[in-house]
Amino acid sequence: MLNPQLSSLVITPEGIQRITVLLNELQSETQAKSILLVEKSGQHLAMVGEESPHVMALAALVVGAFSSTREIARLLGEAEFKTMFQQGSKLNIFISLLESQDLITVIFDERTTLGMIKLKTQQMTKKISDEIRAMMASGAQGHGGPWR
Amino acid sequence: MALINYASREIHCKLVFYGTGMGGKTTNLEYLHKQLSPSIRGEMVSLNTANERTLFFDFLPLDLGTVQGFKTKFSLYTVPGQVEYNASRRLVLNGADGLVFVADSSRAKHQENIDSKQNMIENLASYGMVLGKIPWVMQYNKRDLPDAMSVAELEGALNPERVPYFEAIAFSGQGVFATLKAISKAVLNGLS
Repeated sequence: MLNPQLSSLVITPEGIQRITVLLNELQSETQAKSILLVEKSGQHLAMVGEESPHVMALAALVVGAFSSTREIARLLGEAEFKTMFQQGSKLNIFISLLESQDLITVIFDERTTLGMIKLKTQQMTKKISDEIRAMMASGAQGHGGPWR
Repeated sequence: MALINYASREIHCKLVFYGTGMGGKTTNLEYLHKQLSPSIRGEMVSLNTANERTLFFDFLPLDLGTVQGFKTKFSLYTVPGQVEYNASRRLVLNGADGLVFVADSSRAKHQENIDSKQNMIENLASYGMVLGKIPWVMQYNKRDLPDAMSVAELEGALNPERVPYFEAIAFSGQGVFATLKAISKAVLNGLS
């Protein structure tokens, strides 16, 4: 039995497989270099495309950067910002908030455009959110953690 | 929020080092980074101000062995101790699975320690969390200071909950691994 106070997220093989299929589909449609799915406390859930050896640090920093925009929104009287974009000379990053409060991070270069990334990512966010929610629900019922 | 991954057989947990400014939170992580083999720890990331004070957080990922066939991965974070950075502290606490309160043993920091612990309780409450419901340990750092308070005094003022405490001199590493071992064990026990 998992401690409900710590509300652990259980990642099931079936759930993560379905999420990875969606991320691969998004990567293929947008020609992004990599897509990173990050849980709201800073843990990475999945990465497709070019892998990075710094994936854990990337996940922590993405959540940190996006969280700071949440605080900016609060100070400005805005409910929340839903996306964030960073433009570099070779690489760009587009971050989008999911309904589940997790973050999808798309890393892309000159092979595609911001418009394409925004459009396709936003079309995919609901599906990915739904999969995360379904996985949380099935995980809570079907798995008791390694200490069953 | 602990993340239990049945696909990769991994457990990911988040530990946050909390406490007053200049109390030794970053020094704890720096010591672990220096002592541990690169095979079990990742790069340490520090978001600092121009004068090397923590602005947002420090981050250090560690692999701490295997429990019942699951690899255990811990993400260690520090919060910025300076009073004015409360918004950052609150953000870093989000999803924490375990806490280390790093108290500065100096008598001159007595009130700051008390205020910082109260601030930790308030920030946890903003996420609907209660200190008694999350695994945490106390570290009394800087035990080598000439004006260090006695452990009995510190316990009386800061640890009425009587969670495990550790005396430390983080700069030389004393007590650092014992603290990490205790909190990581408490977090894994808390998942069961």
